[in-house]
Amino acid sequence: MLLHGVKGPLLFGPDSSLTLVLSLLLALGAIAGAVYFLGRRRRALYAVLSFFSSLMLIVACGVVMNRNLGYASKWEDVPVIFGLGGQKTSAVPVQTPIFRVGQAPPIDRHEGDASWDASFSEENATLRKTVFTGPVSGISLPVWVWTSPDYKADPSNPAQVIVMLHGYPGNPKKIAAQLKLDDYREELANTIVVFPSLQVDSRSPDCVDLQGRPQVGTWVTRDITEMIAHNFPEVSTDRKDWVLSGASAGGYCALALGLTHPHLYQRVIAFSGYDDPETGMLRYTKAKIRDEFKISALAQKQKEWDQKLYLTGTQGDGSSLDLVEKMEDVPLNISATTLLGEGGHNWKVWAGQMPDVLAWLEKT
Amino acid sequence: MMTSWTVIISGIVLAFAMTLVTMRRGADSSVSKRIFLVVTTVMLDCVAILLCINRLTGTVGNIDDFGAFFALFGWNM
Repeated sequence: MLLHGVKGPLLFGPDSSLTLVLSLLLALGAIAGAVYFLGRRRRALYAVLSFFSSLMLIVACGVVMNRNLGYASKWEDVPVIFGLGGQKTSAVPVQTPIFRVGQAPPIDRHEGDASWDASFSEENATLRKTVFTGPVSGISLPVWVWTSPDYKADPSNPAQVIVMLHGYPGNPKKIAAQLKLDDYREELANTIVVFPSLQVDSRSPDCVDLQGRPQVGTWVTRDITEMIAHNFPEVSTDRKDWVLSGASAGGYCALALGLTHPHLYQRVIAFSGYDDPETGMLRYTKAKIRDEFKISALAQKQKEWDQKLYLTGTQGDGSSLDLVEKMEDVPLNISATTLLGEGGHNWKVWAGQMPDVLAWLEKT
Repeated sequence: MMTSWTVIISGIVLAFAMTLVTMRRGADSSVSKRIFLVVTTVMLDCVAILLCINRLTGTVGNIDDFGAFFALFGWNM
């Protein structure tokens, strides 16, 4: 059986049709067995087979879901998605001092430097993709860029940039459709929305730079920022026009990176983010480091730059509520607007919050 | 709230009760009734397992939010 050592999609991988068919056949077989043994008064066998068929149906549901969302391509990725497989680490974050106002370097467009060129291919009418190797971090990952059908590159009217970070598990390719961005073609007519992948390996993304790990923080704040400025010369390089956003773990990452790089992003949006670093290797570091990287702690340290945060949460999502409550007490230079609604932790909820988010972007 | 312990424990109790009912009533029933009882038990077990998974992921917050569950499978409702 081809389970290991193959290149490309696995024959019996967590997203293959064969796994789906096999799990459904096993479920049906177990139901038939349960019916048979129930009639023979073999109750223990009935109970085992009935529970086994339930598990197989759940596996089939998981495979269908994974085929739609593209979360796991290997079986090793599956336990990690459920928060298993992590271990304590001594990984230490790379210190990133906050620039003082007036001393921060501008966003570099690297004019004439071919190492910043990116070649985009069209995925559909509004979405294009490139695989970019960051000259600073060395990370090579796909990046998707969404532009409205009404978008016109016009250097006399510099475009706004929204960098949107995915959660874990997450598929950046799907976010534009999940947020129904095509429905906001007028509101986003002069905006570029960027979806970089943060998935350097099968673990949940680090989102800040850690010693001895791929520098995901640098990938977002330097490579992505400067690659977009280089390849889309019509975009603004003013921090007022750069928005960092994210959903779930991406919401934590957006706030963590936004608050440690306020010279780049005046506005940060977090859809159902968390206060605690529940993502990447930060989750498994020492308690002292985790405390330093709580969003509420990072906000207290950022006293230099004016920043506007937009935080959403729902009553059914305790972590997002916790963040919203903790961010009520932020320094005067930071304004935090919150949106609390009904529902859980999913894209349907976040898509429903988009009109409020766009109204806030328009207003601020 | 779909993530509350009340809902989750109710789901588990219901699935367990259905298992017991099927064990007691199923042995002397016709094949069609046994199939009905087993399939119902399996479905309730699935619901109980999904409620536990939802407690971990928080995906579905309340009944109105159920479309989000189907959206995971690519079915927009």
